[in-house]
Amino acid sequence: MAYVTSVERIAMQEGKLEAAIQMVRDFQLSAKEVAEKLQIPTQLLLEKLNQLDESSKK
Amino acid sequence: MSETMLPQDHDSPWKEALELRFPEFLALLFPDVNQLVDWQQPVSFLDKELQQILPEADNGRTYADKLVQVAFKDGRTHWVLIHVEVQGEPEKAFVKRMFQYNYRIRDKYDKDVISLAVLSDTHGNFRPERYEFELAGCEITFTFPMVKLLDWKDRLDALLSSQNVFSLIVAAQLQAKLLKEPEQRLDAKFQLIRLLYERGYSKEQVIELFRLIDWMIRLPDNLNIEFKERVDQLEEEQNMAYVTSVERIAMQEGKLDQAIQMIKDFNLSVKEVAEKYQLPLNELMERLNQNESSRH
Repeated sequence: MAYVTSVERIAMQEGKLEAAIQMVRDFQLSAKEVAEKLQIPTQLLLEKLNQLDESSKK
Repeated sequence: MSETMLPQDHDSPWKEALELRFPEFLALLFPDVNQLVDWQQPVSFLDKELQQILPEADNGRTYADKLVQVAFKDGRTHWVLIHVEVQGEPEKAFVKRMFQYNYRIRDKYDKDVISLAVLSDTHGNFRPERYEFELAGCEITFTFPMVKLLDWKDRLDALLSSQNVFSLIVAAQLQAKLLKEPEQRLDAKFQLIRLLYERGYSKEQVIELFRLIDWMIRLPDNLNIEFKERVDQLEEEQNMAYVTSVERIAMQEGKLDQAIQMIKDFNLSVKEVAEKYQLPLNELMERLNQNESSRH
């Protein structure tokens, strides 16, 4: 299997997280359920969603 | 397995480095052999032929072997077998294996083979260069050129200032072997990556060498993030979006993977997801189909 560099691995994870956030917001899905299905730490997803909410309020 | 738990894997990067940078490899580590080669002629990698003589048990991850056909300046073609010992520990059977591989190729293909050994271990006294057998007047002596990467330890500056790109690969291997502290490894890795930009290599060269260095010098998860941040910052300073362009592709891949997963798990509309994610609908459909067929 081809080697995936450390920076690509991180970028891929970032992409996955970004996609999950977008899904929760755009499709009104439960953050907990999305985190479980996509194997993302629930806390991390909730934190990111809160950060986005905070910044959109400003 | 967590990245933190991954063992140092020096096998495949060596194979790949040899294939990508064979002339530079010979020029740096085996200059006497390099002088004999006519580099105007094509070089062939004989992976299938090599596979035929490797015993099953040796197809593991402790050695990186390459069998290469090159033309010499005398007009004849010769086979060169490069054996990179990446296990890192002295092994008594090493010289025997060198001899066995040489005679197996000779036996199967009726070819003269030049065997070259590269040792990456950190034991200064382990210097196998000869296999000998003697019994009742019958005698075999097989000697081969050997390079010990450890010998470059005190010439690291020479490696870092060399114009030969393979010197960076050797430096990466040395640092991977010698530096035990993760922070030191991070600094050494970043120093090598910085050199790629300072030397003015092309985008393709930077990406190729970046990949090999990244593969050789592994870091724990937390330092990988710091490493990525340093690389991103370096590219911004240098105004060279080489690695970050690869990152963008990886990020898009991550998004695509996740979109597919979400469509399946939450029964979402493919068209709607494609629109929201700004992904090409046909690509998303194609990936979904591939995903489905790979499950059956």
